[in-house]
Amino acid sequence: MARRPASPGQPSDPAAMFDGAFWLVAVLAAGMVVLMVVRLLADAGGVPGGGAVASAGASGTASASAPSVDVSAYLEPVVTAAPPLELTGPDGQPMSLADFQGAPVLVFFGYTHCPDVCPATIGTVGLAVDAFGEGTRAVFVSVDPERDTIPWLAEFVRFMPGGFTAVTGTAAEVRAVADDWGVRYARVETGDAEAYSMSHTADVFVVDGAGQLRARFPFGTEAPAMIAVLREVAATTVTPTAAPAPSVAPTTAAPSPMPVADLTIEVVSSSVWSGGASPVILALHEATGRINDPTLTVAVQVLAVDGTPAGAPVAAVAIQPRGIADVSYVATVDIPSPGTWNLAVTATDADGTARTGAAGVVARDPGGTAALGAPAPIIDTPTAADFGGDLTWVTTDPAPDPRLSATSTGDALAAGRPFVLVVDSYSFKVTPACGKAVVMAKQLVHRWTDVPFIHHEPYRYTVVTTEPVLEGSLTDPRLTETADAWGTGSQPWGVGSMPWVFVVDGDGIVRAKYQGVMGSADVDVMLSLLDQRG
Amino acid sequence: MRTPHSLTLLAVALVLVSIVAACSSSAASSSPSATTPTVSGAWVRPPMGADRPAAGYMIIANAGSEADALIAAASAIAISVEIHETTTDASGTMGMQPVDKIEVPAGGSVSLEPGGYHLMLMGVTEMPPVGEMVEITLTFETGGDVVVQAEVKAG
Repeated sequence: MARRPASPGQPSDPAAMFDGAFWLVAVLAAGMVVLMVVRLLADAGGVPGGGAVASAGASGTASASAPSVDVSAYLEPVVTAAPPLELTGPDGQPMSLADFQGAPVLVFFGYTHCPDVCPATIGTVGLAVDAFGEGTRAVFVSVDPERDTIPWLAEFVRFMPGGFTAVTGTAAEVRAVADDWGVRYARVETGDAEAYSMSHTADVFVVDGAGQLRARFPFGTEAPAMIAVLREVAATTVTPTAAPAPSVAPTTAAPSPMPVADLTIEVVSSSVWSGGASPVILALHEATGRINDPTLTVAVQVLAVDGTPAGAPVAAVAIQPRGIADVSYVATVDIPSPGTWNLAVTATDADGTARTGAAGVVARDPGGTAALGAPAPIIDTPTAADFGGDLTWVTTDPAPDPRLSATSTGDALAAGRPFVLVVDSYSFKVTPACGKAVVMAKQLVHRWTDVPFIHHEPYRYTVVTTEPVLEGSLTDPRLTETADAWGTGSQPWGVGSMPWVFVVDGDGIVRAKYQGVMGSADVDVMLSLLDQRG
Repeated sequence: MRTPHSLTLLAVALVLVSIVAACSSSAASSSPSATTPTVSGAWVRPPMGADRPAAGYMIIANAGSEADALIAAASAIAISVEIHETTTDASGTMGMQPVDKIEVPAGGSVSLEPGGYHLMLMGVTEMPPVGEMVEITLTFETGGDVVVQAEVKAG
């Protein structure tokens, strides 16, 4: 960590042509000129130095600053009615997307404690709404109903541009709306219970004046592109003659004869899988709030979107994680194929009163990843002890928690202990999502001190002095034998699909798995489930 | 002979120093040594409401031949300043998490920008109006402290 000399090279023979004072001044002057050029470049947004450039910008977002905008890149390929959006506005009154019919509406999801993505989106959408005019509105849907109460929202909208409103609801209502819009979100612990953050889909949806979903903007889309798309959408809006309201359908109802729903069902799981034995964590809500009754008998039936049952109803297990007031109900379901399905839920209380509800769920394709309900691959993950306690060979986390590298999967399997395997690379960010699961595990290990959390680096690397150096490249990394054995590079996911998290029970059976975003509730509930069953 | 010659050149150098000093007062950073990263384009987005965080963005350049890393930040207007990173997964879901440091490669630069790395100013006690400056002290692993004047901007 030695500092390098601050000045450019010294003359080899200072006495040869000039005296020492001249050199001092000349070097100073040259240095100043270089500094000024660097500043000018930096001010102009250029990158001085010309060496390796690390940019932290969101990858995969549309860059639309060019004068000509490819409007078609943002338009929905098939125009359909916008999903329902009926929540509560900042005045505490019900608000429906249908209220805005006649002008375009931009809809996006976020949370008011969000310091980065949401304010940036609000700023850009504000520019677009202001420039396009025509009565265009913007609706911010909170995915953090716990903190974004009505009074908070009332405060928040005062800071939003004109034409904006914000809506929230109960946890179940918000989840149902998000599911209908294909929006994912999960609570992410940061180490401070009050300061958790939310992962969420950051797209902005465009609904035209006739209530049709017409376009979506990925995060990073700039205002000129939004304005061009709004022009196109407004010019091609077809007002239906019969004018059915665009958003009056009940959120997740299947068209088949369904019992009258008096429960609202929230799917808490951040990954639900097709192919059998997928645990689905449910929260049940009634008008007065979440139902936290561990004595309820809850049955879950998987239905195709046309209402056809898939298999028999499954009993759900009531789970109340330690230190948490909320009761969740976990049903292990067999969903035949990837795609959209409905879950019909019947909850019967101790005196025999039955209530029903339903929720939509999108089942993911497990590909060749370690199958749910099947034995975990028998393969050892390396531990720090294998390298004489040197963590740099086991994790690329520069501030590692040694507990995550203390146990091998082989040891945990042999001991008959449940464990959580986190397959994630902290430093080799093949995708920007890499490292998030490690951070989550470092938080959860404090709450679950008796459960091994095992972090495995999925990409082969060597250590040069103290620095991990990737084998292959970020675009073509090589999986370790262990990561390969768990199928984390299998199709349709591929080697860039990290992170993956697997929860394995004391019998060595894979009980849950998560790709990408994982909420802390997922792990809390699954480990509690394994706990309760011994 | 030597003395007047040297004095003239010294005077030229002093003028240059004052010109650069004038440039840097608007641009943002102080440069204690050539290995200290330089910061440009620093700005702060004010919080959206009471008890909400503010975000800070900038470009950090490292003209030195050794990598450095931003390891801490502080400002008199906030109770704490954290270093965060927003990431996007394959499904377009964006999330944010604290990071221990931001590496600044030798001869390269790193952008703190919306949707990526950013500073999170927690417990903002006094936010100047848009157009004014917020002073932020950045601490680098090897380069030491750099004081940055960040403009308050909407957006």
